[in-house]
Amino acid sequence: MDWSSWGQVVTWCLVLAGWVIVNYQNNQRERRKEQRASIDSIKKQLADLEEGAVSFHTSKEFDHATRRRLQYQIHRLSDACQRLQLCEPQTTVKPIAALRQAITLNNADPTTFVPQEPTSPLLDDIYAAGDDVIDAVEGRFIAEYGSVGQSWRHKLLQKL
Amino acid sequence: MGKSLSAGSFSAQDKLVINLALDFSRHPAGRFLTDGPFSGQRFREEFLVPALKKARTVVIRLDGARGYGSSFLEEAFGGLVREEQMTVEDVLARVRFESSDPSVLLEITEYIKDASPKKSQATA
Repeated sequence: MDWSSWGQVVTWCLVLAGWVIVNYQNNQRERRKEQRASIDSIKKQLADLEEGAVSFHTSKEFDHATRRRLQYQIHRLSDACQRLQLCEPQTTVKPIAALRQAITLNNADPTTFVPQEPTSPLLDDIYAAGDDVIDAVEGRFIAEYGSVGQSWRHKLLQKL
Repeated sequence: MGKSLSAGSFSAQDKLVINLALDFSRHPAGRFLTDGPFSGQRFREEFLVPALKKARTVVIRLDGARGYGSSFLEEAFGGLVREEQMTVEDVLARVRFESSDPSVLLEITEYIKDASPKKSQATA
Protein backbone atom coordinates (compact mmCIF):
# COMPACT_ATOMS: atom_id res chain seq x y z
CA MET A 1 0.00 0.00 0.00
CA ASP A 2 1.33 3.47 -0.87
CA TRP A 3 1.13 6.56 1.28
CA SER A 4 -1.97 7.83 -0.53
CA SER A 5 -3.90 4.64 0.23
CA TRP A 6 -2.84 4.78 3.88
CA GLY A 7 -4.06 8.36 3.99
CA GLN A 8 -7.48 7.29 2.74
CA VAL A 9 -7.67 4.53 5.34
CA VAL A 10 -6.76 6.97 8.12
CA THR A 11 -9.30 9.49 6.84
CA TRP A 12 -12.11 6.91 6.84
CA CYS A 13 -11.09 5.72 10.28
CA LEU A 14 -11.27 9.29 11.58
CA VAL A 15 -14.69 9.79 9.95
CA LEU A 16 -15.97 6.57 11.53
CA ALA A 17 -14.51 7.43 14.94
CA GLY A 18 -16.06 10.91 14.73
CA TRP A 19 -19.45 9.44 13.89
CA VAL A 20 -19.23 6.98 16.79
CA ILE A 21 -18.34 9.75 19.25
CA VAL A 22 -21.06 12.13 18.03
CA ASN A 23 -23.65 9.35 18.06
CA TYR A 24 -22.61 8.32 21.57
CA GLN A 25 -22.85 11.91 22.80
CA ASN A 26 -26.28 12.38 21.22
CA ASN A 27 -27.56 9.19 22.80
CA GLN A 28 -26.17 10.20 26.16
CA ARG A 29 -27.76 13.64 25.90
CA GLU A 30 -31.17 12.19 25.00
CA ARG A 31 -30.96 9.60 27.76
CA ARG A 32 -29.98 12.29 30.24
CA LYS A 33 -33.01 14.38 29.19
CA GLU A 34 -35.32 11.39 29.61
CA GLN A 35 -33.98 10.61 33.07
CA ARG A 36 -34.25 14.27 34.07
CA ALA A 37 -37.89 14.26 32.96
CA SER A 38 -38.50 11.05 34.95
CA ILE A 39 -36.96 12.61 38.06
CA ASP A 40 -39.09 15.73 37.65
CA SER A 41 -42.14 13.48 37.40
CA ILE A 42 -41.08 11.65 40.58
CA LYS A 43 -40.71 14.98 42.38
CA LYS A 44 -44.22 15.95 41.34
CA GLN A 45 -45.61 12.59 42.48
CA LEU A 46 -43.79 13.03 45.76
CA ALA A 47 -45.17 16.55 46.28
CA ASP A 48 -48.72 15.25 45.65
CA LEU A 49 -48.09 12.34 48.02
CA GLU A 50 -46.80 14.62 50.79
CA GLU A 51 -49.73 16.98 50.39
CA GLY A 52 -52.20 14.08 50.51
CA ALA A 53 -50.46 12.49 53.50
CA VAL A 54 -50.47 15.73 55.51
CA SER A 55 -54.11 16.34 54.63
CA PHE A 56 -54.96 12.76 55.68
CA HIS A 57 -53.17 12.91 59.02
CA THR A 58 -54.54 16.36 59.93
CA SER A 59 -58.14 15.69 58.88
CA LYS A 60 -60.77 15.47 61.61
CA GLU A 61 -61.95 11.98 60.67
CA PHE A 62 -60.30 8.90 59.26
CA ASP A 63 -60.72 8.80 55.48
CA HIS A 64 -60.53 5.27 54.02
CA ALA A 65 -60.40 6.48 50.41
CA THR A 66 -57.47 8.80 51.06
CA ARG A 67 -55.68 6.10 53.02
CA ARG A 68 -56.00 3.71 50.09
CA ARG A 69 -54.94 6.38 47.57
CA LEU A 70 -51.80 7.13 49.60
CA GLN A 71 -50.90 3.43 49.57
CA TYR A 72 -51.24 3.30 45.78
CA GLN A 73 -49.23 6.49 45.35
CA ILE A 74 -46.36 5.10 47.41
CA HIS A 75 -46.49 1.91 45.34
CA ARG A 76 -46.29 3.89 42.09
CA LEU A 77 -43.52 6.12 43.42
CA SER A 78 -41.47 3.09 44.39
CA ASP A 79 -41.97 1.61 40.91
CA ALA A 80 -40.96 4.89 39.28
CA CYS A 81 -37.74 5.04 41.33
CA GLN A 82 -36.90 1.48 40.35
CA ARG A 83 -37.51 2.16 36.66
CA LEU A 84 -34.93 4.95 36.56
CA GLN A 85 -32.10 3.94 34.26
CA LEU A 86 -29.47 5.27 36.64
CA CYS A 87 -26.65 3.65 38.56
CA GLU A 88 -26.77 2.82 42.27
CA PRO A 89 -30.47 1.74 42.34
CA GLN A 90 -30.09 0.45 45.89
CA THR A 91 -29.65 3.99 47.24
CA THR A 92 -33.36 4.79 46.81
CA VAL A 93 -34.60 1.59 48.50
CA LYS A 94 -34.17 2.70 52.12
CA PRO A 95 -35.60 6.22 51.63
CA ILE A 96 -38.70 4.78 49.93
CA ALA A 97 -39.17 2.32 52.82
CA ALA A 98 -38.74 5.19 55.30
CA LEU A 99 -41.30 7.28 53.42
CA ARG A 100 -43.82 4.43 53.50
CA GLN A 101 -43.19 4.05 57.22
CA ALA A 102 -43.57 7.78 57.87
CA ILE A 103 -46.96 7.85 56.15
CA THR A 104 -48.52 4.46 56.89
CA LEU A 105 -46.93 2.94 60.00
CA ASN A 106 -48.47 5.13 62.69
CA ASN A 107 -51.83 6.89 62.82
CA ALA A 108 -52.84 5.34 59.51
CA ASP A 109 -55.52 2.90 60.67
CA PRO A 110 -59.10 3.60 61.82
CA THR A 111 -58.61 2.19 65.34
CA THR A 112 -55.55 4.29 66.14
CA PHE A 113 -56.23 7.43 64.11
CA VAL A 114 -55.94 10.75 65.92
CA PRO A 115 -56.11 14.08 64.01
CA GLN A 116 -52.62 15.57 64.03
CA GLU A 117 -51.75 19.16 64.82
CA PRO A 118 -49.84 21.07 62.11
CA THR A 119 -46.81 20.98 64.42
CA SER A 120 -46.94 17.19 64.83
CA PRO A 121 -43.58 15.38 64.61
CA LEU A 122 -45.34 12.84 62.37
CA LEU A 123 -45.71 15.51 59.69
CA ASP A 124 -42.06 16.52 60.12
CA ASP A 125 -41.10 12.89 59.54
CA ILE A 126 -43.14 12.78 56.33
CA TYR A 127 -41.46 15.89 54.94
CA ALA A 128 -38.02 14.68 56.01
CA ALA A 129 -38.58 11.27 54.42
CA GLY A 130 -39.76 12.97 51.22
CA ASP A 131 -36.61 15.11 51.15
CA ASP A 132 -34.50 11.99 51.61
CA VAL A 133 -36.13 10.38 48.59
CA ILE A 134 -35.38 13.47 46.46
CA ASP A 135 -31.77 13.53 47.72
CA ALA A 136 -31.34 9.86 46.88
CA VAL A 137 -32.80 10.23 43.38
CA GLU A 138 -30.74 13.34 42.63
CA GLY A 139 -27.70 11.55 44.01
CA ARG A 140 -28.24 8.73 41.52
CA PHE A 141 -28.52 11.25 38.70
CA ILE A 142 -25.27 12.95 39.71
CA ALA A 143 -23.54 9.58 40.11
CA GLU A 144 -24.63 8.64 36.59
CA TYR A 145 -24.03 11.90 34.75
CA GLY A 146 -21.94 14.04 37.07
CA SER A 147 -22.96 17.39 38.48
CA VAL A 148 -23.75 20.44 36.37
CA GLY A 149 -20.66 21.57 34.49
CA GLN A 150 -18.95 18.23 34.79
CA SER A 151 -18.50 17.07 31.22
CA TRP A 152 -18.30 13.52 29.94
CA ARG A 153 -14.57 14.04 29.50
CA HIS A 154 -14.15 14.61 33.25
CA LYS A 155 -16.22 11.53 33.95
CA LEU A 156 -14.17 9.47 31.51
CA LEU A 157 -10.94 10.71 33.12
CA GLN A 158 -12.30 9.80 36.56
CA LYS A 159 -13.09 6.28 35.36
CA LEU A 160 -9.61 5.93 33.88
CA MET B 1 -63.33 -11.59 51.17
CA GLY B 2 -60.02 -13.37 50.57
CA LYS B 3 -59.98 -16.95 49.42
CA SER B 4 -58.84 -19.80 51.65
CA LEU B 5 -55.61 -21.57 50.86
CA SER B 6 -56.32 -24.44 48.56
CA ALA B 7 -54.43 -27.71 48.29
CA GLY B 8 -53.24 -26.45 44.92
CA SER B 9 -51.17 -23.86 46.71
CA PHE B 10 -48.71 -26.55 47.76
CA SER B 11 -45.77 -26.68 45.40
CA ALA B 12 -43.87 -29.23 47.51
CA GLN B 13 -44.51 -31.25 50.65
CA ASP B 14 -42.35 -29.07 52.85
CA LYS B 15 -43.04 -25.77 51.12
CA LEU B 16 -46.20 -23.73 50.93
CA VAL B 17 -46.60 -20.78 48.63
CA ILE B 18 -48.96 -17.95 49.48
CA ASN B 19 -49.65 -15.49 46.72
CA LEU B 20 -50.86 -12.60 48.83
CA ALA B 21 -52.67 -10.78 46.04
CA LEU B 22 -54.50 -13.91 44.82
CA ASP B 23 -55.04 -15.82 48.07
CA PHE B 24 -55.76 -12.86 50.35
CA SER B 25 -56.37 -9.49 48.72
CA ARG B 26 -54.96 -7.07 46.17
CA HIS B 27 -55.77 -4.30 48.64
CA PRO B 28 -54.25 -5.34 51.98
CA ALA B 29 -54.59 -2.57 54.53
CA GLY B 30 -54.85 -2.00 58.24
CA ARG B 31 -53.20 -3.45 61.30
CA PHE B 32 -55.95 -5.03 63.41
CA LEU B 33 -59.11 -6.98 62.54
CA THR B 34 -61.09 -3.87 63.46
CA ASP B 35 -59.22 -1.86 60.81
CA GLY B 36 -60.80 -3.70 57.89
CA PRO B 37 -61.34 -7.06 56.20
CA PHE B 38 -57.81 -7.40 54.85
CA SER B 39 -55.73 -6.45 57.87
CA GLY B 40 -52.27 -7.66 58.83
CA GLN B 41 -53.65 -9.44 61.87
CA ARG B 42 -56.13 -11.40 59.76
CA PHE B 43 -53.48 -12.36 57.23
CA ARG B 44 -51.17 -13.56 60.01
CA GLU B 45 -53.81 -15.46 61.95
CA GLU B 46 -55.78 -17.00 59.09
CA PHE B 47 -53.13 -17.53 56.43
CA LEU B 48 -49.58 -17.28 57.72
CA VAL B 49 -49.78 -19.16 61.01
CA PRO B 50 -51.82 -22.08 59.59
CA ALA B 51 -49.38 -22.27 56.69
CA LEU B 52 -46.43 -22.40 59.09
CA LYS B 53 -48.13 -25.24 60.97
CA LYS B 54 -48.54 -27.19 57.74
CA ALA B 55 -45.21 -26.59 56.04
CA ARG B 56 -41.59 -26.23 56.98
CA THR B 57 -41.08 -23.27 54.68
CA VAL B 58 -43.62 -20.69 53.60
CA VAL B 59 -43.00 -18.52 50.57
CA ILE B 60 -44.94 -15.25 50.45
CA ARG B 61 -45.31 -13.74 47.00
CA LEU B 62 -45.96 -10.06 47.46
CA ASP B 63 -46.24 -8.86 43.86
CA GLY B 64 -49.67 -8.10 42.51
CA ALA B 65 -51.06 -6.16 45.44
CA ARG B 66 -51.72 -2.46 44.95
CA GLY B 67 -49.15 -1.45 47.52
CA TYR B 68 -48.71 -2.19 51.19
CA GLY B 69 -49.19 -0.12 54.29
CA SER B 70 -46.39 -0.34 56.84
CA SER B 71 -48.86 -1.11 59.64
CA PHE B 72 -50.09 -4.14 57.67
CA LEU B 73 -46.53 -5.37 57.09
CA GLU B 74 -45.51 -4.84 60.71
CA GLU B 75 -48.55 -6.61 62.14
CA ALA B 76 -48.47 -9.50 59.67
CA PHE B 77 -44.76 -10.31 59.83
CA GLY B 78 -43.38 -8.56 62.91
CA GLY B 79 -46.40 -10.06 64.67
CA LEU B 80 -45.00 -13.55 64.15
CA VAL B 81 -42.29 -12.69 66.71
CA ARG B 82 -44.39 -10.43 68.93
CA GLU B 83 -47.69 -12.33 69.03
CA GLU B 84 -46.91 -15.86 67.91
CA GLN B 85 -43.74 -16.23 69.99
CA MET B 86 -41.57 -17.33 67.09
CA THR B 87 -37.90 -16.40 67.25
CA VAL B 88 -36.45 -13.94 64.76
CA GLU B 89 -34.13 -16.65 63.46
CA ASP B 90 -37.00 -19.09 63.02
CA VAL B 91 -39.11 -16.58 61.10
CA LEU B 92 -36.24 -15.57 58.84
CA ALA B 93 -35.37 -19.21 58.19
CA ARG B 94 -38.90 -20.45 57.55
CA VAL B 95 -40.61 -17.54 55.84
CA ARG B 96 -39.29 -16.40 52.48
CA PHE B 97 -40.46 -13.30 50.72
CA GLU B 98 -40.58 -12.65 47.00
CA SER B 99 -41.17 -9.16 45.68
CA SER B 100 -39.97 -6.99 42.82
CA ASP B 101 -40.02 -4.05 45.25
CA PRO B 102 -36.88 -4.20 47.40
CA SER B 103 -38.18 -1.47 49.74
CA VAL B 104 -40.99 -3.79 50.87
CA LEU B 105 -38.52 -6.63 51.50
CA LEU B 106 -36.26 -4.28 53.47
CA GLU B 107 -39.16 -3.09 55.59
CA ILE B 108 -40.42 -6.59 56.37
CA THR B 109 -36.95 -7.75 57.42
CA GLU B 110 -36.63 -4.72 59.70
CA TYR B 111 -39.98 -5.41 61.34
CA ILE B 112 -39.11 -9.04 61.99
CA LYS B 113 -35.70 -8.18 63.43
CA ASP B 114 -37.03 -5.31 65.54
CA ALA B 115 -39.99 -7.20 66.97
CA SER B 116 -39.78 -8.60 70.46
CA PRO B 117 -42.17 -11.05 72.13
CA LYS B 118 -44.90 -9.61 74.36
CA LYS B 119 -43.62 -9.74 77.95
CA SER B 120 -46.84 -11.05 79.51
CA GLN B 121 -46.94 -13.99 77.13
CA ALA B 122 -43.20 -14.55 77.08
CA THR B 123 -43.02 -14.91 80.85
CA ALA B 124 -46.19 -16.98 81.10
